[in-house]
Amino acid sequence: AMSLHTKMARLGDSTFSTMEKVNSELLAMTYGALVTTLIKDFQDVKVVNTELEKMGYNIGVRLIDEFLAKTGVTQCRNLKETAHSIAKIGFKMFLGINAEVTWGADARQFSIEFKGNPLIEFVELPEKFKNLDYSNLLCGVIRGALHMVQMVVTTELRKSELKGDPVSEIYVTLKQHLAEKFKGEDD
Amino acid sequence: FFLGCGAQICRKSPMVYIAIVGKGDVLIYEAKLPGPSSGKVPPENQLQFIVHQALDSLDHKTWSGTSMYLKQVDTFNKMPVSAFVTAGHIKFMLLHSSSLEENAIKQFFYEVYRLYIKVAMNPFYLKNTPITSSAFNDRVRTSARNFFMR
Repeated sequence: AMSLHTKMARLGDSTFSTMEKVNSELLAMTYGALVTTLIKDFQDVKVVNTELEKMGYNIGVRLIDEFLAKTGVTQCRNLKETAHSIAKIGFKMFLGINAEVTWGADARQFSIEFKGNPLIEFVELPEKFKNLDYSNLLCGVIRGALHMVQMVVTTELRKSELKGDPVSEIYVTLKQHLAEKFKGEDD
Repeated sequence: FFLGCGAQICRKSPMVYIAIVGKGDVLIYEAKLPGPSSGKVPPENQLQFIVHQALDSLDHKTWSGTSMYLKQVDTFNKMPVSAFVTAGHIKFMLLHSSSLEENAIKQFFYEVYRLYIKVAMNPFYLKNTPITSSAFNDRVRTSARNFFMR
């Protein structure tokens, strides 16, 4: 019998193979242009970090539909399954990379660890931008996607390959579950 | 003995000197790299001047053919200056001993080109500004060691 996590990894691989692809250099350069333009416009690294996260959120609220449609994944039974869906299926199908889950301080917190983020290809962070969370868009994507499936989370880019860490890490904390609201239910 | 040496002591040391020049003859990178022993090593303050002098012959030679590798474009005290022009007209110039093989220089230039492209692709790098990447510096030195010290 195959473990759930193995099944998820397989689903991630197979979904990735069916996805339309874009040239990774084009993606990296487009994202790089976006980030540097934000820096030029806002001049403040903290503000840019926030803007990237907001953009990510807007992407995430839409991306979740594509995720559910393409993978056929139905409701996750618990947070562990959610975490592994993001790492094994989400990261694989949208970024083409393998991500790992490590569990956090308590049952409501976990990390997604990954290497080879295509967004950071060619990037070297200058010293003056050492507090820039370059990949913060991804944090927003996770927050937005989970919000659409009734989970309110906070996310944080804790480690970055651009800052000299061996891996990148997004730390996710579950704040609350939202109750599903159904409109116009028959009495 | 060395013309223009002044009070400086010029000693034999294994060295080649590379300069990368951008648009408007702006120097964006320079380094003394490991290389075969050249009899006469120009003093530090002359290196940039020598390379600058060679720019005119370089510009001339750029359009003489279709190759990016321009081979020798000038000489200084019997030390050849070899050059390479990228598609974007960034100029790589090498001051080296005449004992250095052309093929080694050509391969070295293509490797520097590859490394330069990586720098240029960094969204934070502004074209025509000094290259400060320590990764670039390290890799250029390693390349020089690989191609010139054998």
